[in-house]
Amino acid sequence: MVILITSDNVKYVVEKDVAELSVLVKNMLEDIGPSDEPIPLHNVTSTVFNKVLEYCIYHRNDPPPSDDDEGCASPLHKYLASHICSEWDQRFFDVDQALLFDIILAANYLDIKTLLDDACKAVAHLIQGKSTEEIRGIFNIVNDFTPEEEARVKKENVSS
Amino acid sequence: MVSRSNSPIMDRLPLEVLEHIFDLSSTPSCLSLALVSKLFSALAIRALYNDIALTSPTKVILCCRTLTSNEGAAEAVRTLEVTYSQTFLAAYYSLIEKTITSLQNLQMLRLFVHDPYFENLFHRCQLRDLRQVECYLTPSSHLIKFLNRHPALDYLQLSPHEDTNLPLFALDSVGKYTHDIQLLELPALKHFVGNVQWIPYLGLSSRLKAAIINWNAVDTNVELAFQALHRSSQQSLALLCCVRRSWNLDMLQSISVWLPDIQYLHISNIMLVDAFPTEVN
Repeated sequence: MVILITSDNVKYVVEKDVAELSVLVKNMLEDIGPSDEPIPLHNVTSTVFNKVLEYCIYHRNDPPPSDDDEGCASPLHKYLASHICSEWDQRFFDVDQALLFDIILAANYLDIKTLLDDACKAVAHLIQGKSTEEIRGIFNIVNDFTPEEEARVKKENVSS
Repeated sequence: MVSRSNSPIMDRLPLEVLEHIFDLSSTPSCLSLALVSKLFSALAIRALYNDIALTSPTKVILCCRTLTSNEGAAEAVRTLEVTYSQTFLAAYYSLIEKTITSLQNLQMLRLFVHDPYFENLFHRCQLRDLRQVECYLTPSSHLIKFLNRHPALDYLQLSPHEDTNLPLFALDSVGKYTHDIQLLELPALKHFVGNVQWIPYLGLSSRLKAAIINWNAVDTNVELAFQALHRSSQQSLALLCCVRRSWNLDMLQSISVWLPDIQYLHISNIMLVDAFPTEVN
């Protein structure tokens, strides 16, 4: 068992194999060796960590992601990577935007590659079919193009 | 970042995560993303131009113009695919040549065009990251010189059709080819796809892992190809696919003699070797 403490001081007792899905936690455990000291997670609140934990418990027995795809960037690969998502995952990511981005930040901080990937897919799905103005709303961005630049980008990218 | 702060998400989202989201987005999404802001535009262009497939001459021209004028887009290209059929004026080819030369990070080049003029695109260009070339060209001296400038090539596909102008190759009594040919020198080549007529060009420099071979309409001695593969790749060859007419019993016999260690064998028996592929526009 591993003890983790979130930034808002909530204590979690988590099974080791689940906790080690986070490369950050795994490395910390290796560094400190066997110990009952709680591990602080400075950048994650309990609200977000509840979701992260739910994901890690559900996916604890998944095969680890392989880094070795021999440069396979085929369109089919890309398609599969961005579309295949289980029903459970779809329900899991059906949360408000702020929480979705917080999950991404937590996954990035805790270094949980599969969660990060899946959450990024969920954002890609969210963007799908949205207009440029709607996307600005999602990311809270101000248009910094001059009209000339905007016209140039529009023209250039027509052909792709 | 301690609590769920109200600071805009863009200030907290690391760039590489944003980039990852863009990579997972569809092309229409990327086109919308490119118009959001300057930062998004730069990231979307990287995602959009990473893998380009051009299916008509008009698209080729438009895209080439963009790539030669927009450095960011040219740097983003890793794969370039061209598919259509027709031939054009010289200016058309020089535009493509200029474009390909500018794609310094290109890794995959796919030219699925039945257009022999394409071999002239390769006079000078050298692409340091090129690993995969797929085309319908035959090994002309221009093409061979171009390929040999890329010793890191891992995957090569040439025309599945024979060139009837070339002499049929044969081995003499001491195992040398009866015709002098300019050889490919591709030590890293692992995958080869193409007509059996090109096998001699591979020489002894490559240790293939996989070969997909089409046989001529005019049949040659099947023995020769396997003998050549035996000499270069007997230790490494794991997968062999053969596409040929007839019942191929002679082929099985010959493979078992020369390449007894292969792990996967796939033989297709086809009837219409002579048919040129139908044009798809």
